[in-house]
Amino acid sequence: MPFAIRILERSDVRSGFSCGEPSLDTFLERHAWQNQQRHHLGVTYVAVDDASRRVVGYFTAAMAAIAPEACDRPVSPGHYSSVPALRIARLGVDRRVQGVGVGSELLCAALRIALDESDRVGCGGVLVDALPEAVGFYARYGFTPLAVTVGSSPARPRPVPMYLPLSAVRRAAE
Amino acid sequence: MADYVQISAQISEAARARLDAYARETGMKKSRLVEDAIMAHLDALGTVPSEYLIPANVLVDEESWATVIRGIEQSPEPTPALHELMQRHALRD
Repeated sequence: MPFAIRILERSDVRSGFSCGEPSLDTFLERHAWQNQQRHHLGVTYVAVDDASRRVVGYFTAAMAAIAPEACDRPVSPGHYSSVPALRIARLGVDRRVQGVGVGSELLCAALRIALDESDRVGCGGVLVDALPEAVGFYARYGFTPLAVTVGSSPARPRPVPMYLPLSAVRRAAE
Repeated sequence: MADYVQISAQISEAARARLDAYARETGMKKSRLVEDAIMAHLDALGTVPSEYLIPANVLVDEESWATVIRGIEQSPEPTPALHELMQRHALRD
C-alpha cells in the first residue's frame, strides 16, 4: 500500500483509526490537531494512504531534556547537566495495516527528524514512551529502558520509557 | 456590557425537555443556560487533556543517567535492525 509520511494536515481522515489502544485513537481523532496547531506542544507525523488521505499510522514528537535526578548538585566542569532529546510520545498503526512495516517506517522518520535536529539545535538521543507490548519492537532497534523518576508520560496504560543514543543512529545511517 | 443576538436552532425533544426541567428547578434563565453550555463545550473542545500532555523535563536515576552519557561519549554500535532500517532509507533518498 503506497503511503507518505508527513506532518498532520487538517483535512487528513482521522476518524475510524483504530490501533488497538483506545487512548492513542482518541488522541489522534480529537486532540492531535489542537496539540499541534493551537498549543504547539508537539507535532504529529502521519502515514497517510496516498489515495484516500486516510491516516494509517502516526507518531507525536516533542523536545525533552533528560537530566539526573540529583541535578541540584553543582555540575563540575566537563560534565553534563542535561541532554536534549527527541521524545516520541505516541506511535500507533491502524490494525488494518499492522505487520507490513508502517511502524518501522514511522520510527525511521522520527529518527531522521532527531538527526536533523541534532545538526540544527543539538539532540543527544531519542526517548520513546513505549506501550508495554511494543517494548520488543523498540529493543530490536537498540532502545533500552530508562528509569525515569520525574517526567513519565501520564498516559494509560503506563508506558515504558526507552532510550536510544543518537550516536548509534548516526552510525547506522552512515 | 456584551451585545446579545438571537439564534434559532432545532434540538431534540429530549434536550428541550431537559432544558425546561433544569430551568424550572434552578430558576436559571434558559438563554443563560444555553450560552453557558455552548461556551463550556467550545472551551472543552480546545483543551488537550492532561494525560496527553508530554512532560518536557525528564529526570532519571544514576544508572540511567550513566547510560545516557555513555551514548554521547562512546557512540555505541547500532543493532543490525537499526542499521538495516537506516540503510534502507539511505538508499531510497
